[in-house]
Amino acid sequence: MSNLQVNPLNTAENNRKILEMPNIRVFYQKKGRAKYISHLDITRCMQRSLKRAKIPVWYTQGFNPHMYMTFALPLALGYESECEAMDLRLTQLVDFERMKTQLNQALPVDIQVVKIALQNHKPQEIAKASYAITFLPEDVTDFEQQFDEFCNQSEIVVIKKTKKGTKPMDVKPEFEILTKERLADRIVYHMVFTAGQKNINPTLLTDAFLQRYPDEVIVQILRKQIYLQDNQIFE
Amino acid sequence: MKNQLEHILLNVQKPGRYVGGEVNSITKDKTQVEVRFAFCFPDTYEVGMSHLGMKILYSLLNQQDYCWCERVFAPWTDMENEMRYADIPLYALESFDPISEFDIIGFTLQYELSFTNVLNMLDLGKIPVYAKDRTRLKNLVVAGGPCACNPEPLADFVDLFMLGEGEDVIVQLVDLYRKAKQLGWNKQQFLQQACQIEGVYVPSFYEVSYHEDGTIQAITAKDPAPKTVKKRIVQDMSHTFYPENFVVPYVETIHDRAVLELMRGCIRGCRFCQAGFIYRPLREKNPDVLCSQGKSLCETTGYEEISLSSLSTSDYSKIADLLEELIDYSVEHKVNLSLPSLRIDNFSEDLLEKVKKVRKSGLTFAPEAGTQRLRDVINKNITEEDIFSSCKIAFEGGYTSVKLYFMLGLPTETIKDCEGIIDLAQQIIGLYYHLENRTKGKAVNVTVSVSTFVPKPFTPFQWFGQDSLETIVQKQMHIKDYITSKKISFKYHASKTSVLEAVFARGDRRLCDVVYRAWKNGCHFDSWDEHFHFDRWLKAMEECGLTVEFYANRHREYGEIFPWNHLDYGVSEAFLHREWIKAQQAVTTPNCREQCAGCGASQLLEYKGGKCVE
Repeated sequence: MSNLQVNPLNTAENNRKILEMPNIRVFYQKKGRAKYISHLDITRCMQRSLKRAKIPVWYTQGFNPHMYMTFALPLALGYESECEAMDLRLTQLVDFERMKTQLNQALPVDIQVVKIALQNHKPQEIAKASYAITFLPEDVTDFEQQFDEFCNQSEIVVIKKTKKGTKPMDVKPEFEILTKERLADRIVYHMVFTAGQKNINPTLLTDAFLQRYPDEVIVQILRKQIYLQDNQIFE
Repeated sequence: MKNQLEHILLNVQKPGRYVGGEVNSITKDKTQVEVRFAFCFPDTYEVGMSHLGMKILYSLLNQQDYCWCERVFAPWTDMENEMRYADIPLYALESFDPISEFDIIGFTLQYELSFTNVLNMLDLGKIPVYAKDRTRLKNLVVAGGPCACNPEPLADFVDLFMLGEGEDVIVQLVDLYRKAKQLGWNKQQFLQQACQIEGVYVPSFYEVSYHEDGTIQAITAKDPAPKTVKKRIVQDMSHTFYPENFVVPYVETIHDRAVLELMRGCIRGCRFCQAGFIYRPLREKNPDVLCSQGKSLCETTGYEEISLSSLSTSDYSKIADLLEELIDYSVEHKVNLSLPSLRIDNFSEDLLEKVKKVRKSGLTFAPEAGTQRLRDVINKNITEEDIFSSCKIAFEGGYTSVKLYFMLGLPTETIKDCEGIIDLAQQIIGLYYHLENRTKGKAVNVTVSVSTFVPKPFTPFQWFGQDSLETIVQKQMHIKDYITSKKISFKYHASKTSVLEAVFARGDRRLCDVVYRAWKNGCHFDSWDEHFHFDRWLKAMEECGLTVEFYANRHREYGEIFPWNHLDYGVSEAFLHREWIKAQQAVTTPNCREQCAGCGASQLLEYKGGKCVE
């Protein structure tokens, strides 16, 4: 009990070295059942998965040590994503391919790592995100026509919830339709929305529309990619 | 995932509770298994996922290749409304299949106030709630858990109960079910075979007749059911099945951590404590086995906390060996170690020092009664000196707040005993200020938490009538007025739930109609204050011509046939009655290690020549 081993990685010298190393960025997808898991719960899930996978994650050195971990652009509940980014600090360099394999074995099947790399951009540089928004209406043709009309208005005022209550805002300048795919029972819109410091969730637009649309429509939202202002992919 | 479900999940709070998919949850090919078992916990996901018994049986059943066990919890009311509106039947979390597709639907009965949830879950699953209305072998409804020791208030709804510890009996039962399916037995044929398994109680095979005053005249077994059903126990804790992993929930649950079960049973014999009698005899697990199970759980779950579980952790005879090794492991792997329910009489400085190294959490003691006389009545063998010396150690170790747990309405209790609760708290405060080396400049706080005593079957107090609601409220108010110090925080609970608990704990099968009516009138989640409607329960009792007084407040005479008379939990009625007499004389009984009291539970052991404590 008394002869507690001194972990060499905990010495101040080592700690300084660790802090000098760049963060690593883990890109993962969140699909299927996992879309109903809140961001807070994902954080805990990640900590436990990293622990199960025995990844040498750096712990903060304070009174209550915990894994250092930040998420670039937290995802709304109910969305799926192919491009979630989580930043970590390691106590030693590891082989990224091996880490990915280990971590994927430890993660739930609905959350899987697609890429691990050194952090390239700062999360503050994020400006846009692209989404695939799938609508399953009763009448696809009618839906498409009305939704297009709605999006083509010169101004689309919606009610945005903020910490201080609700306020009206025009979402027209905050999104763009890239392409559409029409299928028998559904239509998929590929769209880009403002993201990052000012973050616009696609639901803001779709909810505003669906409030006026008479039929029940299932909406599925998948985040495809995160971009900087100059359309460079966030890495 | 089913589209319908997707439609409602974003309308409810914490949808993560309803989608499964957690790490270590088990998915099998349903076309390749012979028996599908829906393990139902009649409360929310957060409560049910904290329950150790469910984790053990889930892993154990899934270890059988031919069986797939899935988890089912009671949806919270917002989800239930959405499901009923969208016509989505209650489903299991692994496959999303409705529970009506399952062979066996098993409930664990942890507390009496979850009974209406059993009915509600069956109904949400579109399964008839009355056993007689389910004629096929499929959808066999079974139940187990501590409340199965008097399952009579559910006798009309459940096809069979498993008494005692589930590990062995559940596998035998599922095995028999598999055989029944292969041989094409009907439900009656199956039940006739099942009741031959030790520990299986089929209520429909027993007839209950009543005297005019409402007490039971006779309980008669019908052929081929045994006259009495004996509970099952695990013979050897060190070699019995224990899961290598736990399902790791996404959503935060009540107890979200690795759990080690140190032992079953308790040597203490506190006379109010049902667990202390129905889990006898004491059986400890070897510390090496515990350490390896703890390490395995941490590695497979990634949990940051291990807790040691048992009825009285400091009575575990190898606690020092265990803590020595576990603390080293937990420091190295950044895992917290938490130790609940420590009794205070053997709370040594050494042990406290070790616990402190891991985590500084609150100090909780349970003297249960305010005076030594009453503590002797309930056989809580601790003295004021024990309490003070433990508090002294704790205060000198830097603690400034203490929580004390008490019960109101204990047999022979007087106003003096109630005042004794506060006197004790006051003395602890005095002790703090007299200490030379306490933490300077900090005020002490003593939290006094008082619950209402509920007499339970298979305890020496099973003959005792619970205090009436009025008496309890009077006592609570008196205590409140008696407090003069601001350093004492007084907490007490609404005792109406305790009244209902007392009705069901010792109730007979005539209460089935009450459960049914109350549920029909909208009662469920009764253990949740916001959903507890005492008036609806009283109305249901009245409609059935039954009274709270008869079940909860009436003193029973020795010799009265109890509704659980045909169930055998190892402890003999003669022993319980001896204890009841001693209680009324405020005479204590030494713990099992000091001297065997001859309760009878050692007869359940196959080995050691019937001797339980080493």
